Order: sequence, then C-alpha cells, then structure tokens
Amino acid sequence: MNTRRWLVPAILFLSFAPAAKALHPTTVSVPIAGTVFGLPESVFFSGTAEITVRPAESDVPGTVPRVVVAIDLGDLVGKGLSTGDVYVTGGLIRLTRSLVKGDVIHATIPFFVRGSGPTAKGRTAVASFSFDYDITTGALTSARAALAAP
Amino acid sequence: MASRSSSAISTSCRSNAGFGRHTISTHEHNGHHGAENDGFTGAFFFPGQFYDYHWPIVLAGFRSVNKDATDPMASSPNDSGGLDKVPGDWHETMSTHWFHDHMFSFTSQNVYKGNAAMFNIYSGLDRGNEAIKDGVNLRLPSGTAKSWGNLEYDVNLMLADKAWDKNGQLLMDIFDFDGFLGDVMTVNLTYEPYFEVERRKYRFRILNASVSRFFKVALSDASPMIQIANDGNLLPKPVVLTELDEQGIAERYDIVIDFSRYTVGSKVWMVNLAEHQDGRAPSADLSIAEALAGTSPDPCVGKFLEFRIVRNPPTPDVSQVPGVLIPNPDLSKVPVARTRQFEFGRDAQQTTNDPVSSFSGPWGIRTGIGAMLAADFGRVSAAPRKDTREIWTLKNGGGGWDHPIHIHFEEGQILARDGKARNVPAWEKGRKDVYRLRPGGDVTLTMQFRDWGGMFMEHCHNTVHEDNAMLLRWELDDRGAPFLRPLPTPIPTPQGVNFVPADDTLTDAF
Repeated sequence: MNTRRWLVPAILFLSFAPAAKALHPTTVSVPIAGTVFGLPESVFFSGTAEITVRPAESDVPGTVPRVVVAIDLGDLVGKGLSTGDVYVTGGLIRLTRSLVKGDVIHATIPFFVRGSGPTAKGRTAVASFSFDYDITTGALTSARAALAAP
Repeated sequence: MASRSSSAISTSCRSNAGFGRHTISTHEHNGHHGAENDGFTGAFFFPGQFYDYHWPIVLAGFRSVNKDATDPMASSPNDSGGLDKVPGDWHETMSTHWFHDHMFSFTSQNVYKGNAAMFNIYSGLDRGNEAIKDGVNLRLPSGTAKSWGNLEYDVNLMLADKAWDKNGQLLMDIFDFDGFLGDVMTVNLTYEPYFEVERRKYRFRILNASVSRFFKVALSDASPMIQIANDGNLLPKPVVLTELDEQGIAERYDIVIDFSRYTVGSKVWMVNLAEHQDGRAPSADLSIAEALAGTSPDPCVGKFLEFRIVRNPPTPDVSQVPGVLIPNPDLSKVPVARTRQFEFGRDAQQTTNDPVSSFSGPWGIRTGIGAMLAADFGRVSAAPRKDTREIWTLKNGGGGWDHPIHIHFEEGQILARDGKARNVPAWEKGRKDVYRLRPGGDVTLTMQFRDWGGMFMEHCHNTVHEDNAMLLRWELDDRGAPFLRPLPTPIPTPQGVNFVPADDTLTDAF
C-alpha cells in the first residue's frame, strides 16, 4: 500500500460462558470498532461481528482438531471523518484454523464508499480477533475484535 | 468442437516411472454435452488408440429456451467483430474450463503427471475484447487486437504443487490415501515465476490443479482484488476481496487486479495463505503477514508469483468490470422433483466385485440412508429424470477432512451452507460445479437436468480420495422412454469395448 496509515484500534471485549456440549458450534456476536487512518480520509467503523466457530473432530490420532471460523461483518459501517461519506466492507470472512487455547486472527477486508462501483480503488483494513477456546470441548469462551489499518 | 485424444503412452505399465496408468479418459470439466463425450471414468482407452470427443459448446437449455436464437445475449463472437446468435439460455454462459484425465482409480496420478490443460470459452458476453461496445459485451480485461479471444490482459494461471526426487524426476507417494502434497509450488508448471504487467487491469483465471492441496490467494500488500467468476461461470455481481476464499481442487476463480495503483518499477506478489500439514484439509489459513514471514513449515505457503510493474499501458485501459455480470438462471418455475442426500466419508464397504468397474479403498459415499459404499462405475446410485430439478445435500461425514465435491454435467446453485442460506458467501452465489464441504460441513444445492441423458459422475476432487473409491455414478434416465436410453456400462479392453448392464442399482436411485 502506498498510503501511510496508523494503527489506533478500539478494542472491545466480550466474555461468555463456555458451551456445555463438546465439539458443537459456538455462535456469538461481539462489537467491533476502530479507525482506519489514511488517505484520502480516515474512516471510523463500528458494528457487530457475528462469529461462528465449528470445531471438527479429527479421526487421526495425534492431530490437532481444526476449527472452521465464519465471521460476518455485514453490518459494519464506516463514516469518513472528513467528508461524512458512508463506507462499507466485504461481508464474510471464512477461515480454517487449528484448535488451540488462544488464537489470534488478523484478516484483511476491503472497504469502499457505499455505492461505488467494483473498480473503484478500494482500501484495506485489518480485522483482528482474539479467541479463547476450551480445547476439551472446542467451545469458544471469549472473543475480542478490533479494526485498524494494515 | 471436436477434440481427439490420442494416446502415445507406452503399452507397458512398467515404463511409468513408478506411478500413472497407461489407460486414459479425457474429461471436459464441466462441459454441457452428451455423456459419451464427458470423459466418463470407465470410458477409457488404451495406448495407440484415440477417442473423439464432441464438445458442442452450447448454452444449456438450447432445446427449450430461446430455441430460435433470437436473443443477442445468447451469442458467439465472430471474426468480423459481430455476433452469431445461438439457441439457449444466456444465463448459462460459461467461460473458464479445463480438461483432464479421469481414468478410474488413476486420475490423481495421471493428472499429476501433466494430463491436464485449461481452455477458455468465448461468448457474446465474455468476448475477450474489451473495446467493442454493442450492449452485450461485458468488456472484461483482455485486449483489443483481435475481435475476440485476446489474451494480452487475460491470463490463465494453473496452480499445482509438485515434488521431485533427487534425480529430478516427478515424485508421488501413491500409498498415502489421505492425500498427496508436493513441496514445490508451481504456476503453469513453473517454479518461482514472474510476470511483467502494465499499470492497468488484468484478468486472471486461477485453476487449482493440485492433487490434494487447497490454496487461499491474496496479494502481498493486501490490495483488493475483484472476483468475477467461480468455476468458470461469471458471477451475478463482482465481489471485492482482499483474500480469496479457500480454493479447492478443480475450482476456478477468475479475478481482476488493477495494477494502476502501483508505480512503474514496483513489485507485488501473489501469496498462498493456506497451510497444510497433510492432504486432509488446510491445517490453518494464515494472515498475510504470517505467510510472508517465511516461518511456516509448509514450503508452499507464501509468495508464489511475482508481478513486476514495468510500464504504463501503451493505450488507455478501456476494460471494465460491470456491476452486473451474469444473473443466475431462474429456476423458480421448475418444480423440485425430489431431494437427495450424499454423505462423503471413510470405512466404505464394497458390494460388487467386477474386476474393471469395482474398486475398494478407504473412502466412500453414502446415498440417502444406505450404506457407505466404495466406488463402482457399474453401479447406478442416483437417476434423476430428464427435464426435472432436484435439490441435493452434500454432507461431510466428519473426521476433520475437507472434500471438494464435483458433480459432472450440470451447474448447480448453492442454496445453503450448513443449513442456512445466509452462510452462502457472495462469491458462491453464482453457478458452480465443485462444492467444498469444509470439515464437518454440508452444502445444499439445486440443479436442473436437461438437453442430454446418460451416465455422469459425482466424486471428491481431492483426486486421491476419488481414486480410492469416493466416486459414484448417476445417470439421466427416463426409465424406458424410447428417445432416451443411457448406454450400458462400458468395459474397455485393448480389442474394443464391451457394454454390460449395471451390476447394481440402488433401490432409491429412481
């Protein structure tokens, strides 16, 4: 990227009780917000990340179970700090991860002015997630989310 | 299009350098044509022989929709820059295809050896000319020198991981039934390639031609890309992404990258984020920073294609990515004739023993509530009625595996993932022919069956799984109607083909 940006994440935290049943999906919603600094203007985003994690048991002894992570950022909306323009992002993040006690995910997402065409010069933000799992049940026990520039 | 596949392979199985089979069958993935031209896994031929395939390159529905060829949206480009109108539904227009070997139980080995190639289908909509303005042409990045089929800015990328032994010979472990991984990433069979580009838009047609490896593609600087097609079908709407979804074996993602954001002299790389520990599924999708750090134990993670931005375009870039590409065919008026469920898993049993058509392996497919069965291309597992529509659910049987399931002949539309429509991402809302199930997941899709009948296949395109019995035969059959009788099971021999009745038909097939 040829635009210099600074990281000022707004980190929000949500904690909840572990799921009772082993290897069942967990779905939670956590707030996500942050300012993506850069040109032509900085953009403040806020909204909700709906997170579903589905642990997949392994039938091969000694291998770490996988977790299929789906994060829906469909209602994340940004506001240009100079123009007041409304910005939107790509809606879905889909990842395969290993089931570990604590996992940190940095996924890039595009964002652009609402209503602009697909060939408009989109920009990039980094959505960061910090997950804690109960590795015996595969349940997601806490999640934090933040948004910033790359 | 008439395609003659001639075999110049040695008659001796022992001259195969340790793997690969001297019998072959060429599958046009995922052509809409008669079963005898599909490259059926059992319709193989021998060294010194050839098979003439007729790939008519038609629009699906040509027998029932726009039969008089009056709609210019349904058209083929001609050399004068105009259009030749053709019958069929223009919503079924196809673009990026490939063909590859489909020899029963040896597909992975033969394709890995190189029996695979990409080919592009051009149409009035997807012309391969970015300048012609006629209200039909979508003017996607391509070029202008020819009236159609320009490739200056429209580039095929065949991704595949390979391995070589100490003598520089291609190496494959045929006894790893989990899936085979190479340790060298190649693009169009080239290691560490670079590509000089101009400061303008390019289209890339990305095919995953690996045996078992999934990819997840991003640019090294996380710049946005525009996905315009999935599995050779232009999407209803383009989707802007900074990281493509995991791309399973045989899936094709067409994307547009706009290099005008870079300065002359700069570089950017395509990066693979999907890390594997084995051939079961990706072990983790890494962040771009993690993939670039060089710390992954998987040598195929990280940069694999360098773009060198070398000059400004000699003429202005007139290509475009319209906000609407090809809307899906409207299936709402076609009633659903029935639903089926297929579960893909391990520990399959075999109920037949034909020495040619039947095979046993760890993998299998359960149809409905029946047993998990190993492959037999003489067994009919499903028999939809011609000119009907069905809903199929493809279920992962578990175990932490992923399976990219390919259904031959007809394109499907995904209705739900894991039971919910909202789980279907925008880049999967077009037509598809390969469906990644993800570990523990399922996919529900709908297809209509028309134009031709006969025997087709459904299988995992992790070709090690396919070869080790995760394959079934389905066929379009009108149960005795005089105009449509599928051929019996082919049993090829060096002296000719014997056709025999199906050795098994599942009770729930019809």
